[in-house]
Amino acid sequence: MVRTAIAMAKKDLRLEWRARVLINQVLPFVFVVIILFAFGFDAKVEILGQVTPGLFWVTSFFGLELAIARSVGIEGENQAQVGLVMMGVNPRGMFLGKVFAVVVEMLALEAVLSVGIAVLFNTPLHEVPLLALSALIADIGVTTVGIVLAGVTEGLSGSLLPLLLFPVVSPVLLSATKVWQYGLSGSLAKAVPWSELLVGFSLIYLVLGILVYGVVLEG
Amino acid sequence: MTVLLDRFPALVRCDFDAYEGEVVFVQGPNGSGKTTLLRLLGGLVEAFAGSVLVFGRDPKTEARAVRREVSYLAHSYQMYEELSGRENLSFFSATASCDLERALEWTRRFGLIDRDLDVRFRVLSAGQRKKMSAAIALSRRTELLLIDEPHALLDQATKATLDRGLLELAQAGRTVIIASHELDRIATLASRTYRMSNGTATLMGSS
Repeated sequence: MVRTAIAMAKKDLRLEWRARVLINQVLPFVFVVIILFAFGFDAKVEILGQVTPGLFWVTSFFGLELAIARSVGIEGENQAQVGLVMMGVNPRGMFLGKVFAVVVEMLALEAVLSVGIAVLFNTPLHEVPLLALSALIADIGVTTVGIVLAGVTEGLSGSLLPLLLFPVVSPVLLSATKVWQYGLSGSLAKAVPWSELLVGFSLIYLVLGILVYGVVLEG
Repeated sequence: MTVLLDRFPALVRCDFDAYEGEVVFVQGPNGSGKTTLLRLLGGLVEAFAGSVLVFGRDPKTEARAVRREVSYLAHSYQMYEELSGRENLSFFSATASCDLERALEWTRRFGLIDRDLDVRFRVLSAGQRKKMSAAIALSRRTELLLIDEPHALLDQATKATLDRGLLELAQAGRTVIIASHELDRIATLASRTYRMSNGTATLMGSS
């Protein structure tokens, strides 16, 4: 399983590096979103400071959804996924490899996005380790659900993925937003219960994803 | 067995068997059910009625165990466009029971050179892509090979190489089931021939 996961993650990251979808398409898109938000709030620094955590996670969710769709889409290329299934490749390894690759891509994107938000919204980034760790855990939670649902909705209407994904991962996004809210304001104690909720949901989603991904592949 | 694809009867009361070391030829016109039969044996589609056993196992309920013993060369290349041929081979050898050295040996036999292996898969011609896919399918140490239209897109020399390779594998005790339109070419390889028509298989002859 571990060998498969490593090979799958390396392959996905290599494909992303060559196609540059994240840099050329997703990154400009998320920056357009945050700039539009900034205009929407009349560029008032006090309002932007209050809404920064929510804007960050809404924007990250858009990026995650695109990265997940791309990650699943490359397996449809030349029916590569059918080949993997027919070769009896370990589905748990495949799943973990795909999750790892998307999370790495998203952490890179979120690092750039958070700097962009800090500059554009004039929001200093306090408690960076907490923010980074919560981003990692939230990305794992959203990606695990996303990879499973993208597999389920493959071949169906493309609009189904965000429609299904958003309600399911809303506890993760909500708790990540609260952790960021308290992290940015330096109120670490208030962030603890939300962090626990975030870890709990992400862990449940990760375990469920590992268990059901094989069934999704067969379907 | 009977197979329904979106309620369409792709296979209808189809009887089929193959034994160790045989080359079984499945011929028939487009849409007669050849590919569906191969996919059924690989567990990619499910029988609506009847039973399917591959090495005594149901390919749907024991899919992974069956697929460890099955190689499938499909119409589609089943490889990644933005990886080179060599990277594709390395990936499949790391994740599946594909033997990298044997796969490279097959690519050499098919006339691919190092340069062909080092460019991105999307750059290769259709025939070169087919050779790469065939190299992966043939390099797996499996007992059953499901080969769908193996000669499509290949030049005459490669077709002959592939035929020799398939015969070698059968002589080594492996079972090869080939779905093809190329009646003259495959008939010389096959120990038995089934003719598919409207989802049913009729045994035509043995040699």
